[in-house]
Amino acid sequence: MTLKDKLAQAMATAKSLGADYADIRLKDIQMESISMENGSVSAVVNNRSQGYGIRLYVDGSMGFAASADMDALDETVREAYAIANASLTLQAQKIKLSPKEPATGTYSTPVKSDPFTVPLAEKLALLEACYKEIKAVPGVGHNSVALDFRKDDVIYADTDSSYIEQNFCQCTCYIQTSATSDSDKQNRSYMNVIRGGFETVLEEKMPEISARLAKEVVELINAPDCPSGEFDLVINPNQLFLQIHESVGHPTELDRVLGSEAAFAGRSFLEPGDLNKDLIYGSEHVTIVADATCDKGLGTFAYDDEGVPAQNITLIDKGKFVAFQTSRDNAPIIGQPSSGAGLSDGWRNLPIVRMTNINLLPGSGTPDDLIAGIKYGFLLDQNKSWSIDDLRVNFQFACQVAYEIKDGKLTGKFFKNPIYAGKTTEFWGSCDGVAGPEYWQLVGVPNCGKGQPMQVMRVSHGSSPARFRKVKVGVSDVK
Amino acid sequence: MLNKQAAQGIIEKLTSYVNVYATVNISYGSNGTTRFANSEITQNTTINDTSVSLTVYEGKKEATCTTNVLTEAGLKQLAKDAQAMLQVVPEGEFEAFPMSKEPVNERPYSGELASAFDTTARAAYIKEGVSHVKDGFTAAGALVLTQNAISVGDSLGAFRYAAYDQVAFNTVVTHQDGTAGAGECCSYTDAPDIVAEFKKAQATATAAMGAVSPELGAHTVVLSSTAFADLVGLMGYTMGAYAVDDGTSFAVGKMGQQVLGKNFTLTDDVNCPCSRPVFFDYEGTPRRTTTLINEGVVASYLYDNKFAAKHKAENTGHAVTNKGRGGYPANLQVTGGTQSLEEIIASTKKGIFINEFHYTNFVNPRTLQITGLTRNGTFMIEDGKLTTPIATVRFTESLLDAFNNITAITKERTKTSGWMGISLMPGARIENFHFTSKP
Repeated sequence: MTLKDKLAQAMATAKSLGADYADIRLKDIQMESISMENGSVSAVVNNRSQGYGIRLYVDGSMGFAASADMDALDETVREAYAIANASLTLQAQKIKLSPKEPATGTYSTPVKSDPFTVPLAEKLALLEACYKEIKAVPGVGHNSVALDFRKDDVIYADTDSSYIEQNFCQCTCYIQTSATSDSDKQNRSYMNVIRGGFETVLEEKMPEISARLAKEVVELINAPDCPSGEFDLVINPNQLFLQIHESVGHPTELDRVLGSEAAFAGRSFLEPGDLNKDLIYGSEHVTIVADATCDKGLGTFAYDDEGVPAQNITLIDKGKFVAFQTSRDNAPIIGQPSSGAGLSDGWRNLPIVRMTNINLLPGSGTPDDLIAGIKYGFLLDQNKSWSIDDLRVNFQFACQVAYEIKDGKLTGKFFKNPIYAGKTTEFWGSCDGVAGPEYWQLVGVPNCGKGQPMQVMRVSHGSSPARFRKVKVGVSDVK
Repeated sequence: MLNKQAAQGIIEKLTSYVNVYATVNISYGSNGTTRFANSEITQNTTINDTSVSLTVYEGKKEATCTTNVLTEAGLKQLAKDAQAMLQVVPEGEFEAFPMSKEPVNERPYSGELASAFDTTARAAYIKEGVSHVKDGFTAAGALVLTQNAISVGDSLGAFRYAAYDQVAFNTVVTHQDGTAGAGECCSYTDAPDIVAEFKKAQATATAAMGAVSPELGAHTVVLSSTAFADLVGLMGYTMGAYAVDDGTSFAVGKMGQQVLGKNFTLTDDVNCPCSRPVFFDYEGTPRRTTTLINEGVVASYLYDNKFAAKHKAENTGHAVTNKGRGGYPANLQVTGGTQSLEEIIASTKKGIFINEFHYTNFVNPRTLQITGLTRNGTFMIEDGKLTTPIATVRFTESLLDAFNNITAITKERTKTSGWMGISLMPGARIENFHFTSKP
């Protein structure tokens, strides 16, 4: 019996037991991690995990069971069925799934050079080249460089006769440099996670970045603390990605809006009815999309984990809130089809609403144009710390460095420990410029946590540097 | 459940496939989670998985491969891959540390929690709990049963095994205006009272209605054990030798120094009955009960094999990997004080009671400056009584300052669920605690 036949049989078993609908995700995941600390190889690790998760619905209640044992398919279907029946114990409303067409298809991440076939010696040579640049800078303390690679081979099938095969490949580049004094430690670091082959790693130019970060960190340790007050900011994509993630990505997830995550990840300041209220989320410069089709994105695919085709939907259109991110089990509540955001972490977990690639679309002009419009302020670079409230309104971020802007120019002076805080819609409302497409960068986030059991997803966020007016910087004014 | 004999069989089989020194880690987990939201069961899942890691060593070279394909062919492939990788990896800093064979405690597996909290029982507990939620409110949360077996061994015959169950429950009861109260409980041993936590969450939510926005600036705060555990947990993670070595920890160069008030003692206690009943770490080293802060003085860091060797210190048995990340706490406890929570509140003229924090995170670990927000039950304390409910507010504070400003610690301590296991924490009163912004 072929694998396809086995999955079809499992779906047939679900139907014969009495399930109204069932689907299955079979995933085979390979990972390789290579890391070097202070010039010594600290870890070379390979990991393989394969298994499947079966979700089924009985009379509007859901059950899910996951197993690594391919010989236990039938047993796992029956377990999911029993769990769905247990769910009926406390059902207020029957879960309805948004309609979708049965799908058959294949998809693979475009890969020129399979990272799993690149010799380990070549990968280590790249890390050693980074270390060589770092150690050439006097005063650098603890440092680490690392490469991670991941392949997900995914098969999806359901009781509607869908059968989809997808293969994903991602690469992670990581560099951290630090400098210490008797009472302080500062880091300058870089990380990107990209869908693609080893060629994407080489495009990152890690040795050059290593050299720049090492030079900066030994100056940063002696830099003054960032002033507190209300300032104009230009924020680079390596911080803006997390601002987008926390203050746009999560609050526009419909499951949060509906209260499904109230006891863990939290809720949202948005309400279902906000779709039709012309809610102003940001300024006219702010257009943000959930784009599952963008090149090199960690949230790029042909079909989500519910068999729904990839989409590019606009969440915020020139400042106006226009759409939620949804999955099949909650989209009908607002009378819409799924936005194709039903994704699961690995084979063990059920699909829930997850970000795909949540991107701030570029504007026009250069970062220098944005800086030119600031009398006194800062250019913020690289996230250091993050926190946001339960409803995703009040946020506070810290960055690794603030470059001083005076009379429309960078002065060359910089500060450590910059912190900025604000409220989501006020902050996005204060955006009065986004640099053009040639400055647009996609930043991968490999560790977005949500759900119980915790699911850790990989998402990307694209943006160009953007300018924000009168942002609260620092916390010393209340001390 | 992966039993002891099966675990030993896997280790013996796998080490027989390699011709160098090798260590094996096995992790079995079965997770049953029943989630509810809007007062109905919304997600109900079971996950079963066993993964096996093989690390092979030759001189200062080591390579690790992990799989969950436990067939004969899968295990042979694992050994083949690890040995092939060993041929091409460069030398690291250390040779292998042979696994300890020192005897460790072993708590017999009972299976009682697994029986009491199976899928059907979890649904029934939630149904009963939701019946105590009043009109206008809804409940969300999760009741989780995890069954775990952990085993480590090596090619020289060292072998360790532990099996245990854990029940963890959390709920938030929310009014339609957004006001919320929370309850949580967890246990490795006795069955926790789920319904009592629903009632607690409902009572808190009811009391919290009509919240007002607080003044920013410095306040006296009284923290519940849940809120205090959140702060202490962050501090605990900076007490590992790796964080000290790379300069991240506040404790760098502070060994033996008085850094906090004399009323603050922090211990990682593996022998506490409420602790996770695993008496060895990832490297097979016996876990040592370790006092990290003794009456305000930095007393010890947490170690694994590599960092104990680097620091020429005794290995405390806190490895979570064999890749040299120092040690991490698993069973944190703060020593209790002399007053009850009610007595501490009664002796507070003006302050704010905080039931729970949300999204706490380091701003600067070196200074232990952290930030986070209040939620699910924050109240003014006026003339010794809880009065006006307080809306969500953000704090930004150095824990070095905060834990030097503790003026009372509760004598009662409660079990709170953390990332690495259950902690036993008191509540505390802290002066001069800074609120820095609000939604």
